[in-house]
Amino acid sequence: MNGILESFWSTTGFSNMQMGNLVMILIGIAFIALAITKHYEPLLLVPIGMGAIVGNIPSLDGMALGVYDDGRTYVENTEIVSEEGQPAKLADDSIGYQPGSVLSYIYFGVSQGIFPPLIFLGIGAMTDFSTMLSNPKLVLLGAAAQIGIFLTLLGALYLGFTPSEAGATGIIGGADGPTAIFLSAKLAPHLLGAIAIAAYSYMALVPVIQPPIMKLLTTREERLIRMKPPRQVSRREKMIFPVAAFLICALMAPGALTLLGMLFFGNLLKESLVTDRLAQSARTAMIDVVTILLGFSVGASTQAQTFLTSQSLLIFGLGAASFSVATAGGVLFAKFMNLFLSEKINPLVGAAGVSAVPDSARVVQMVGQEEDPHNFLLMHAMAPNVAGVIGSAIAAGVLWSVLVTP
Amino acid sequence: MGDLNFSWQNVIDGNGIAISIVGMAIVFLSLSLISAFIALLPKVLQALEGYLPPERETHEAAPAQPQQEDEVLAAIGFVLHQRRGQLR
Repeated sequence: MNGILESFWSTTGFSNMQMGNLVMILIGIAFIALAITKHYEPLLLVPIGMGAIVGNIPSLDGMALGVYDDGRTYVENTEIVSEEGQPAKLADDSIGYQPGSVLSYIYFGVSQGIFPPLIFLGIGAMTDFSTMLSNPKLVLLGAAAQIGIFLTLLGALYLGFTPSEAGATGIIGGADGPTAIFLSAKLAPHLLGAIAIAAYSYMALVPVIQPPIMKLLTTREERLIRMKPPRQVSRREKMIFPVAAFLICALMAPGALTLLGMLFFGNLLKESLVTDRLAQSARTAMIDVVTILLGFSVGASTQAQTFLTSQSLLIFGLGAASFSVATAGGVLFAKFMNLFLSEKINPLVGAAGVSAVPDSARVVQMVGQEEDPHNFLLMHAMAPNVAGVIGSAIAAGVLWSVLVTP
Repeated sequence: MGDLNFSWQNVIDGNGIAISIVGMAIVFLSLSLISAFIALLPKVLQALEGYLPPERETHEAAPAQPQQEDEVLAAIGFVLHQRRGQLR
C-alpha cells in the first residue's frame, strides 16, 4: 500500500515541481491578473498566462504532454538486415512511432510560422487604410520607427548573440507579435518563447512605455499642433492599394511575401465589396481561433527549464530598449519632417509608427488630449500605425533573407 | 549564444552595421515607393476617369438575413394574395 502511494506521489506535479516552474506559474497568474484588472491586451495575455501555467506543470518522462514532446520514430532493437548488394536496412518490425503531445501539434503552427500569416489575414480584413491613403507622407513615420529593430540587432550582437539570434531579438522593436514569432521561428526557434513573450508583454505595456518618451522629446507647442482632417478616399483607391502595395513590398523584400501577402489579401477581401463573407470570417472567427491557439501554445512553450535563462533576461532588456528607441525614432523623424513641411505634423503621431495596432495610435490620442482635449489625433495616428505593420514585416523579410543559414 | 561576451568585435564580425544600414534603407525605400504611389494614385485615376466603370458602393448581400427576409416577404405576399382572393 505504502509502495503504491509513494510510487503515485513520485508521479505528481507536487513531487516534480521545481522553483523555476513555480516562478513561471506565478508569472502566468500575474499575466491573467494584469489582463483582467488593468485590461492590458486581455485577448493575448489571458491565453498566454493560462498557457504558461499549463506548460509549467511538471510531467513524467515518457508521457507526451508538453509542447516540446514531438512525435518521434524510434528503433526498438539494432538488428540490421543486410541483403547482398543492397544497402543495410532495419527490420520493419523494429521501427515504431510515438505520437507527440496534443500541445506539440498545436505548437506546430507557431514553430513552423503558420499562425502569424493567418493572423495577418485577419488584421488585413479589419484594417482601413483610408487615413494612410489620404496622407501619404505619414507613411514615412512607419519606416522611421523601424530603427528600433536595427539598433536592437546591433545591441544583441554586442551582447554576444549570434547574428540569427540578434535578428530574431531585434524584431521585437517592430512591436508586432505575429511578425516577431514568424521571424524567430525561422531564425532562432530556441528563443521563440522568450521573444514572443517579450514582444506581447511590451505591446501590452505600450500605454506605460510610450508616453514618457513622447513627452520628453516634444515641447508643449508641438503637442498642441492640430492637423488637417483626412480627405475622403475613393473606393477605387482602396481596392487598388492592396494589390499595388503588395507588389511593391514583395518585389523589394521577398522574405516578407507570406506576411504581407496575407495582410493585403485580407484587405482586398474587405475592400473588394464582393467577398464580404470571407472578410467577415477572416476578421472575426478565424483570427479569434488562431489567436487562442497561438497565445495558448506560446504560453505553454515557456517551460522554466528552457525559458528561465540569462538569454531570456537579456531579450527582455533588449525588448524594452527597442520599444523605446522605436518610439523615439518615430517622434524625432516627425520633428525632422516638420523642418521641411508647410503643414506641420504633430510629432506625437510619430510614436504610432511602432506597429502595435491600434494601441500606440490610442496612446497618441491620449497624450495629445492631455494638452488639448479638442485635438483628435487618432485618425492621423492610424496612418503611421498601419504603415508600421508593413514596415516591420518588410524589416523581418530583409532580416530573414540576409541572416538565414542555407 | 555561448558564454556572454560583450564586445564591439561581435558587431563587426556579424556585419551588424552593414545589415542595419541596408535593412533601414530597404524599409525606407519600400515605404517611400508606397507613399509616392499613394500620392500619384488619385491623379492617375482622375486621368483615367472616362475609361473606368462607375464606382459602386453596394456590398454583396450577406446570405443569411436577406434569405430570411425573402422568405418572410414571400409569406406576407402569399397571405395578402389569399386575403385579396377571399375579399373578391
